[in-house]
Amino acid sequence: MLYILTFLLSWLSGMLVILITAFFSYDQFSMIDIVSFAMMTFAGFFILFLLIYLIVLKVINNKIAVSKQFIYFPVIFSLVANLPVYFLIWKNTGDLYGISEATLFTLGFLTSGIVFGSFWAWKNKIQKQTNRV
Amino acid sequence: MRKLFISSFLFLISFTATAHPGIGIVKDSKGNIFYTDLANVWKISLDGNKSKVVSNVHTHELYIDEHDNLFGEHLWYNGESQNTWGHYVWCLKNSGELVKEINPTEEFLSNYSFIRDSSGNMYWVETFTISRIMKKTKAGVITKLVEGKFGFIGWLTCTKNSSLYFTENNKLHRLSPDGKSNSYRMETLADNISSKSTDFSMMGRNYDSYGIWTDAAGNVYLAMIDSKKVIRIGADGNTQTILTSNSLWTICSGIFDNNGNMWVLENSLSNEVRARKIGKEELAGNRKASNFTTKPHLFITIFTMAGIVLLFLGAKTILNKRKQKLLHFAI
Repeated sequence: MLYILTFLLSWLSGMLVILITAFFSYDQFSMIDIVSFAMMTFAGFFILFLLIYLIVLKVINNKIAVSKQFIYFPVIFSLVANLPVYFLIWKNTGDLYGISEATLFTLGFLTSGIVFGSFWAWKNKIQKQTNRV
Repeated sequence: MRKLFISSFLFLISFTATAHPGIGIVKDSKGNIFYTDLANVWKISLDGNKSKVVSNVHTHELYIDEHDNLFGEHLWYNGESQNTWGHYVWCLKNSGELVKEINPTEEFLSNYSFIRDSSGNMYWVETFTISRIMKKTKAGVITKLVEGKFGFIGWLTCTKNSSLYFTENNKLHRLSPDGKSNSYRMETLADNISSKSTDFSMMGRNYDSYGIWTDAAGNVYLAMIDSKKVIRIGADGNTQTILTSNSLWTICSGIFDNNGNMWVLENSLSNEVRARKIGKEELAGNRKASNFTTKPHLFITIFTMAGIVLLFLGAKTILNKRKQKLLHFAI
């Protein structure tokens, strides 16, 4: 359950950043745009979550001290785990979408990574406190 | 092509369908408005009554002459097996009689146009590697007004004094008689008329401006199909947004009636068509032009924020429950 919630929370946070940035980037951000961004980020993040995030989380969860997780987790998920996505975004720029759309996708995935990492660091902190008690 | 395919897919899944909207909206000498919805031609009388005047015609453009004879075409596709198009040109006489001006013919309309000046000369664009703007006099003499390597040329409009206005990518050009014999002079009135829209909205199109029309003062009006607004370009080249449509409707074309009110032809997301009157007071800028009445972008952003808060609270509740369970177990 917590995994599903984290997935939705991270994806929605990425979408929120896209929506807010679009206010300042475009004259008109229509339903077509919103649906396009929502579907592409959802599908992309779903694959990323299953194939990379869960594996990376399993690997680094016990290797990094809880006190350092608040820094390392967001950095690892937003930069390292997202590398395949950044590569695909860069590769398809100009073909499937323009530079401004690519920037929004990048910002969205960056945010999703930061939120996902921060959430698990926070969760581990709470768990550690509980264990101590 | 790939971009177009993906965009089309996204477009379909968003349950919207905007193909190639019509721009045909004209007025007769009495001030009645006629417009096409790509299936029928409608008339809005001076008293506001709306009636169907020509049925079952797929026409993008309309033309009405000084005798109030209304012209349009009917274009159809013969199916994938034949992969050919056909057309005929009809005329609704001022007497109410509907006749065929050009009998049913294969392929698209050629050497004929609904863009005409007060003398009845026709104007059209031939788009190719080298594009040309052509003129055909009432006597049937065809001449080339200008040719060159243009970008994408949008719809044309023609004023009574034979000045032609058209867009080429993000530029607005005027082609007008220079007074010497039959030659025309082309000048660029504005060179940055684009608006910022995403590639998903553009869907592979390389244009944003659509219908084009003028007023008595010589201002040019452009329907910006993606940004859902109308811009006015003055004689000095100044560009001003004068009207925006709500997110469900897109302004495709327009015309001024005899009282100075502007009628805009709008297409909806579900391909409905309507003609809407914008009062001259509204256009004069005494009060703000009608703004977006619905903002899906804003609503969805707020809902997304609410969703994040709810998910966060849900996650916190789960963690708290686990914590209490562990504590309870420890005790």
